[in-house]
Amino acid sequence: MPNPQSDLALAVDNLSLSLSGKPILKQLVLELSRGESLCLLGPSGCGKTTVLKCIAGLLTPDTGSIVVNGRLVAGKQSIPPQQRNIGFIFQDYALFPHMTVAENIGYGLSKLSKSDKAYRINECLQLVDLAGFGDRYPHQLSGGQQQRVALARALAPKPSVLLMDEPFSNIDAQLKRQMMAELKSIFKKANVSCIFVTHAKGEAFAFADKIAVMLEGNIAQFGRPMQLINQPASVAVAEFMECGNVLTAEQAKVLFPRLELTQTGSWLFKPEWIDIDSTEYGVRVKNIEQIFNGREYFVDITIDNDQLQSVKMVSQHLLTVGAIEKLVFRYNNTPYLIKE
Amino acid sequence: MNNKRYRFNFLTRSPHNTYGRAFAFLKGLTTVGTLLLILPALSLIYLVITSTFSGEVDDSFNEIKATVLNHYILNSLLVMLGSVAVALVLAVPTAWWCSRYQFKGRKLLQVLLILPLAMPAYVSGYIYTELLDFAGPIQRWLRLTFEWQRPSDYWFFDVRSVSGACIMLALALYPYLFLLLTNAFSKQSPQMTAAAQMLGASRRRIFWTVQLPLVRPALVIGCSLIAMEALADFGTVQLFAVSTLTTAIYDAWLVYGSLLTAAKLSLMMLLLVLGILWIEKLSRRQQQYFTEKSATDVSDRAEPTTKQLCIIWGYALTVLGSALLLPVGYLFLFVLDYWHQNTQSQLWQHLLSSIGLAVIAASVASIIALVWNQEQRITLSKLSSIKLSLSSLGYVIPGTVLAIGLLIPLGSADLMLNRLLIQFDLPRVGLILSGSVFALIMAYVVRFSAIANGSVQSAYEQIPRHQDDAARMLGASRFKVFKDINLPQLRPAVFTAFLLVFIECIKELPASLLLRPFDFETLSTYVYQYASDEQLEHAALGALLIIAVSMLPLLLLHRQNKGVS
Repeated sequence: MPNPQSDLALAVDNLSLSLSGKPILKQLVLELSRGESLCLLGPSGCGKTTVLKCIAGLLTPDTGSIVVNGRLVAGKQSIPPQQRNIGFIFQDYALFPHMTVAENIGYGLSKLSKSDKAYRINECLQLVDLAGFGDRYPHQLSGGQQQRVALARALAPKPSVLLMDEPFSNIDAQLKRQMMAELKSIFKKANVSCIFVTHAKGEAFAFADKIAVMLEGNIAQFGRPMQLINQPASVAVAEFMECGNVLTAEQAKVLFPRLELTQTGSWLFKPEWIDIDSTEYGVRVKNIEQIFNGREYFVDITIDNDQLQSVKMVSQHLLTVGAIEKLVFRYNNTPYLIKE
Repeated sequence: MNNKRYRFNFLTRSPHNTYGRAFAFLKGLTTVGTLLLILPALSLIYLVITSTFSGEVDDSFNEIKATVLNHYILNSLLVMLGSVAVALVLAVPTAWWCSRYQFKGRKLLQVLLILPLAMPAYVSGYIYTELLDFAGPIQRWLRLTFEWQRPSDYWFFDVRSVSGACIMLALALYPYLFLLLTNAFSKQSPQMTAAAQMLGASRRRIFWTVQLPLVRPALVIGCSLIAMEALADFGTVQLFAVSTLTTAIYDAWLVYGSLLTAAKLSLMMLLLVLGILWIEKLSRRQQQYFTEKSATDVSDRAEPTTKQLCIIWGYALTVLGSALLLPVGYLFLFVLDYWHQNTQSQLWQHLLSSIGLAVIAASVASIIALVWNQEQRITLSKLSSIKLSLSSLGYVIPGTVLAIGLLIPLGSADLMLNRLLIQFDLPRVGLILSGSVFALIMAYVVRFSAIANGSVQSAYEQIPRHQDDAARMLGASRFKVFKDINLPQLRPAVFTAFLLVFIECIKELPASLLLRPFDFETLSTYVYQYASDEQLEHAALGALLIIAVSMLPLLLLHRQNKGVS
């Protein structure tokens, strides 16, 4: 049992759930510290949203326990969603179209007195920088403003944990970065503990303090963004996170003949540490594809070898493809051994 | 409508002078036709205004105004509001259960609960009178059991009253609200409910503050439909001797013989209808903000507990039983008991003439729908879309009012025609327009064109305009495009339009009662005559026929709605 005195905002233990006979969550474990933003990152269909719904109480898990702010909400006892004190921001915001912005924000404050309620609504409007918008209706607001109303509405009852389902998926790329910065500063101000779900790595890196990579109903790895990128826990994580070239010792020998890899297993070779030289005796090249991202080139080299077909690397300048026939590879770091 | 999208389409929007003579004829035809279709409404206004300015003394209207007019208006309003109130009680819970709960037989229940729409309210009214009257089986049993003697010994609900009329009308009309509400409740995003739940609201609070307000547009549209139908009702209130504006119009013409009085009362009624329409329009405008994109996934429906299941079925079967099963069962009993009277009557002859009229009216309405919509498609002009909306106007005019509105111009036309014939020493033709089936057919066309228009218009919108352009680029004339490209794709919609109008014509009562020629009956006037002579037993087969015919479009409607349910 988790310790109620700990500084955990949320502790999920051994959570399992099957929907119509299909296991969706398999003994999932997750913890969230106070004031932290945690990203549940995973491909679609891995069960991310299901985890959120279990925490919120919109779904009842088959086994396992959920503790919010030291209080057991699912497990031996089950507390209905309306009593869990959890904020939820839905993908399409689910603002009530027949209520004004102020009425939307005040909806979860029915226990407060009239004046306290008005005060809190005002406070929340200011928090999300929408002071003066209280009398508008949701359809009169832009998409970004609507999201901030949804945020204010969810934060107004001072929830122990805030859950967000794909919060940035409806916002175009230009606005997204600005929204994230705004949200982040609001979260710091209000000391919000939050879990958000996304399938986009960029959003996870930009917004989360910690990331939980979710694959096939379970947390495959939990850690800080840097840790995930440099030290993936499994080949599956490395591939989903696109950490770099995952090679066996034999495959690595093809590229780096002088490298002594004593342990068998999968090794991570990060693209940014790979260098090449065009020579007469290296590995024969079949094709080179280069994609410019605005800062550097992502290079995908197809080589003529039975054991290894492709190598990914990064280059500061465009390679002149026609001239290259054979390449020598160098690795300027120690490769990371992925422990299975 | 879609004008903006096709603004740059050079083929569908060419300069007017390239349309040619045939098209000028088409435009003239639709203009004249539209004027004919709005003639009843115009005539009412014209007659009332001219008589006011000419200072014509209208004794019968003054008499009504001094004595019973307020009472009539009050009754009309009471019947209207009462029917809406009862319909709400019947429709809201049933619609809620059918859209938010998952239980065995839900889909069947959903279809069954729509069917009472086929029940003419005066037929149920007649049967409940039989059942609940002083001489009826229930009161007889009560008197026997409790040994009461006279009516003064006990209180019993009087069906033949305003509240009785409200209940009968609500039992026949609640399906409108039920249909709209099930649709709206099912389309409601489950996230709305979840969001409210996450903010700490109880189930009860969510229902009253989120789920019910979100279906407000459907609620208002359904209620205004019911209000309009209840206001326009003639059969039930006349049967129950509840005097309303509709019965007053009927009496003004047939008893007092004053067309002007009838016209004045009709105009009042039209104003009431306009009021309802205005409220409805306001709520339609709001609807765009209320509709949700997401459809309910099945898992969102709750499983009812056994207790809830008992309540659901108990309530739904009570509604269904009293609105449909009991009256229909009674009619079957009548048919069996009075088999001879039912089959040896003139029923078949009236059925045939009814079908004849309905076929003609439905054909005309379908052709109007095709021609008017085709013009709108070719020109995309404001004028043609105005013509299209004007031609649908008749649907909101109550049958009684429409009949009076038609009698005014057709009567004067007959008068003029006969004078003209006398001048040329020709034999007079009498009331060839106002006193023949012509008036009846015109009334049907005016009243039900909107149904055909709606069906054909939505089918037209399904056909991309680029198909027309492609055919034109391949050398087809406009007529060929219509014949070879559009018409084949419109065929199902035209068939639906024909069928719907046909059925409405068979059911139509108030206008038919006022306009039918001497010694002529339609199926519904025949059944109604028997009901008002307290002999429905002998026309029960006719009533069953009307109900059976009316059920056809409901099943059709259900098939179209299947995607939603």
